[in-house]
Amino acid sequence: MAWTQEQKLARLLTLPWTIRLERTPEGDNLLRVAELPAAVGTGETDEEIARDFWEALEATLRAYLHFGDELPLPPGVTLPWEHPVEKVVIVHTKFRFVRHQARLIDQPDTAGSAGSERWEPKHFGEAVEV
Amino acid sequence: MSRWRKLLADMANDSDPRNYTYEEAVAVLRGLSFAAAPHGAGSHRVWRGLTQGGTVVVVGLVDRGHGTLKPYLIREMIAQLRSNGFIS
Repeated sequence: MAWTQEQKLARLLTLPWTIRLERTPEGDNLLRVAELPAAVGTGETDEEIARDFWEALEATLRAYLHFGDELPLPPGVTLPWEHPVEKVVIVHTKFRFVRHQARLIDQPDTAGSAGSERWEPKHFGEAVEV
Repeated sequence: MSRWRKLLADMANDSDPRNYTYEEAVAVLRGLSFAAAPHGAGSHRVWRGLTQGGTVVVVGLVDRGHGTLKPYLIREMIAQLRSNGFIS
């Protein structure tokens, strides 16, 4: 999956950032992201502070994405576009049971008695290899 | 001494930095080769610079189009510049 900048931004906004409330000597209340010093919001009311905070966080994250800089992340967080899941290959292999043993369809019966057990569709199975 | 250097010195030595405009802060950052990130409709502006060692430094400002910046913004900017070696 190729992540667009907007998809990355939306994902980044949901990370468990370390948010701190501080009070300046002038009496301003600040909401700060510990990992991103530039992301600081303020305001007169709780609603204003929250709105300003999210705007500051979004602007900061956009800057990191724009410049392609490494983001300081919350502890334990990895980004899915930087550490994509290894491609999963699912191999469907048909086999049958011959004398109570699983045998691949193309595997020869070295005992020379493959026909000794009647072939039934119900004997088909699937082995999943990852 | 260039204007931005004098501004930087003033800001760095100002214990109550309440008289600086957004344009003055930007003059300092431009003097230090910071670049502005593209911004949306809001008032938050993010500036990004590099130390000589290549460390990324990000400074957040607020451009309301008038008046002076809140003192904490100048303090934050100076703290970032100081901790990253832009101010000796």
